[in-house]
Amino acid sequence: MSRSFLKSTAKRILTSHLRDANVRPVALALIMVASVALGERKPTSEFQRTLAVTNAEPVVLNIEIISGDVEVLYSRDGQVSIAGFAQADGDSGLDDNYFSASLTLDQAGNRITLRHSDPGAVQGKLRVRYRIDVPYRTEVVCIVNRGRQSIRGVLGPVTAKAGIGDIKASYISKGLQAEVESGNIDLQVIGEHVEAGTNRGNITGERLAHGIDARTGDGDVSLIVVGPSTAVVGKGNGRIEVGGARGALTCSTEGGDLHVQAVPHGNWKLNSASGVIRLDLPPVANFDLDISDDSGEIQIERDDLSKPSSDARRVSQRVGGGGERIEVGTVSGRITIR
Amino acid sequence: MTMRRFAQNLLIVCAMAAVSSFAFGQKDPGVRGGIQNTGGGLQQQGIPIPHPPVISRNPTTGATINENELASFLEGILRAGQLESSCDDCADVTDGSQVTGLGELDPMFPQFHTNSNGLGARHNSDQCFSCHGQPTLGGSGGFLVPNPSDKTPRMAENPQFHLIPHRYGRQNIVPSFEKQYGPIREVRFKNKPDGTPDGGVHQLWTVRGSTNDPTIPNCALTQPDFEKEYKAGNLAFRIPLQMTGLGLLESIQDREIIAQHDATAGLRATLGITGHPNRSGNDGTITRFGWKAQNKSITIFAGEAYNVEMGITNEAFPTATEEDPDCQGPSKPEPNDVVRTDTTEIRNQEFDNPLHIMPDWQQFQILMRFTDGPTPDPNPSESAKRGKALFSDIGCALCHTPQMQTAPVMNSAVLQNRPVNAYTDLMVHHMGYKLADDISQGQAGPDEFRTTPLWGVGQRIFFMHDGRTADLLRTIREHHSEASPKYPASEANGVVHRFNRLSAEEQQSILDFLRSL
Repeated sequence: MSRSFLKSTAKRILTSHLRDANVRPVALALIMVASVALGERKPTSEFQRTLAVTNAEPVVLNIEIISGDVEVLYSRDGQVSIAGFAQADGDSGLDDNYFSASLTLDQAGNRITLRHSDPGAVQGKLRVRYRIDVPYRTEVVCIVNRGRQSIRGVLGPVTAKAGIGDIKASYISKGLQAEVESGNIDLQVIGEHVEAGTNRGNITGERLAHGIDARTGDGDVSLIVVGPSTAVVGKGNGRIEVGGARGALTCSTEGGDLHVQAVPHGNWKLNSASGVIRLDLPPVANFDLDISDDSGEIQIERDDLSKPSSDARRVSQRVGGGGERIEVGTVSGRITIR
Repeated sequence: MTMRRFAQNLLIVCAMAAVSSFAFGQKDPGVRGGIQNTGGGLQQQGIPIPHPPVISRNPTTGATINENELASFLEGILRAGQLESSCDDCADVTDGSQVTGLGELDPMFPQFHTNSNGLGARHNSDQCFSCHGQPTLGGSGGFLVPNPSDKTPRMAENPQFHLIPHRYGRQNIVPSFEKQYGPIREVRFKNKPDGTPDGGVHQLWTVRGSTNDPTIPNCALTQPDFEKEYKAGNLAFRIPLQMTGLGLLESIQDREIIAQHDATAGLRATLGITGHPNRSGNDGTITRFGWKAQNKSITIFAGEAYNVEMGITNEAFPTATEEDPDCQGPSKPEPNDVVRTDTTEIRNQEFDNPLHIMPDWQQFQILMRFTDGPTPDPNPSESAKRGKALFSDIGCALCHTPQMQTAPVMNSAVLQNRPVNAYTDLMVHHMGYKLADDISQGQAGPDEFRTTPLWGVGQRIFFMHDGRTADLLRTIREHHSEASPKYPASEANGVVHRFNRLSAEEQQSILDFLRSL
């Protein structure tokens, strides 16, 4: 049954039967039920294209999107499959020609460029989503002005930039650079070094063997099993949580707490202006500890460390046979070593 | 006849044979795309072997693999690609890491840097994909470059010929049945020394001489005397099957298998084809994985493969095949590859995060579950199209069932209610004395084998359970075997007779069709 038929039927009911007072309530109820059932279906437009590529060299995928969500994921070798889906919020002028008017898709060998510009007529009134299935050996540069990005299972390297929107990436074998003005960055299993920065938003990273430089202007940083890393929260009460640091570690927060639970495999520098710094180290460990505290409090909860006096501002001790250097500093916060 | 005249005549005969073969002779067109452009052939050119394909969109429902399934699939590639070291903590890079920046061709499939631990004292390989790399990782057995750390790669070859037995200085003697350009073979012994049936896998290699494991300097294990057993006819060979599409095969209900079988009962009877399912001794349901359909599930298969092929003990197979303490290392825990529950970083080998809690063997089974079935040639030739019809006409399809259907409702939307074009009935059949390997597994007798799924046969190198040939024409003819005092005739005889009665052109079409799969 076509939508136009349903519309015209509804119109007939309105024009003929609503004049009859006896029929009016029943007709109105029917119309309400029908309109709910029809669900005010929103106009949509779809795009599908599969491009052949060779195994001989990596695919280089460039994506530029003004507004929309992008998902890039490994699927199989030999082809790049692009699916676009647009859905309007209301009467937007969206039609079947939407993608032909807004999408530019170029292929030169294994180099593929996708540009999506939002025609003014429908700007802000619709949601655009792309799913791009790619071979494993794919390099990705993805720039989205407003929208979410998800990139999974490719060789890389990957560069993902966004104005407003979250960036998720996982199972990337080479390096990754993620930058966003406002949004969260979520990274898992990245083979080479990662650079991640956001002005407003959280950064999470798991299994980043070659470490991460994570910087957020205002937000939390959570890292699990990472190589040599830096985590910085620029301002506010954003927290840093690190579990399983595999190399050197540098962390700093403004007012937020800082918690590290790991075996020291490299030198650490941990600073917080006014937050709580807590270190959970293995019961048996070798390290050199250097704590400084301008006006806060130092708590030692380990048997292999001597307790400082209550007014101590600096503690330097060798634990076990000594080893990696752990420097912990705060201006007015509390430091707890366990 | 003088020698000269004989030589002239011989030359003429050979020339005629060559011409007639060219003009009329049917011939296996070989690996689709060429061996050089698949598996290790790519590696040889400095191109990584493609990864296993993600299961495709469900053609019935449109469902695709969901986010969690894909994450597990990708983790599965990482785990199955791991190169195993033998001690508990001496891998070259952090366990489960991709190997980057160290010259490996593929960070997910390292060849000279270990990124996992647990290799058993006895094993057939030190890496899943070493024996499953044709035409893609996760495929059947193929070739690999034997000198991956050198700048100039040598020609890809059987990885059991040099790469695996000698990796990291291991001192293994390569048996004569592992040929340089032959199939990867694992070995079962038919009988024990006292003459009673054996049937078990005897692992080819030991860790003796490993240069990357300081915990086993006194390991003095020796290999079984394979040459003696080989000469005595006591060996049964098996080659690796492809892992691709196994989740789809597992998703077929028993009732579908039986219904498909029953539907061809009349036609099969005219050709003497019976077949029966191999059933689990525990719950009576149909087992379906392996050359004799001996394994119930891909989970069981994964657990068994980790222990039998790599010597890595796990929850499903917790006991080591070799327990010599001089070769297992003093701190190596048993079972080795288990769900990680340690709370500290000291003992848990970086498993202090949710993604890494699942053991390798479990991730491996998830990988198999969501790997797509092999993709047939999207543009088959006209000959191949004719061959497809002939394949059914002469009765091949009575066992090599072209299509079955997965269960209507499953936990995974991408697996449920979709066709599976595997070309197998998942039954076992009597194949006669020529193929019999004298090994019984479950209800599959010593001359019985599962109908091998033909999807992907177009890009396989070796055929039959023992890899006896790389020629599809011979493979078809090997299905024929008259009765012997020990075994009945092959159930395939009637169909092979029909194949032999086809014209050369028609036979060629069937070969072309098979290579299109």
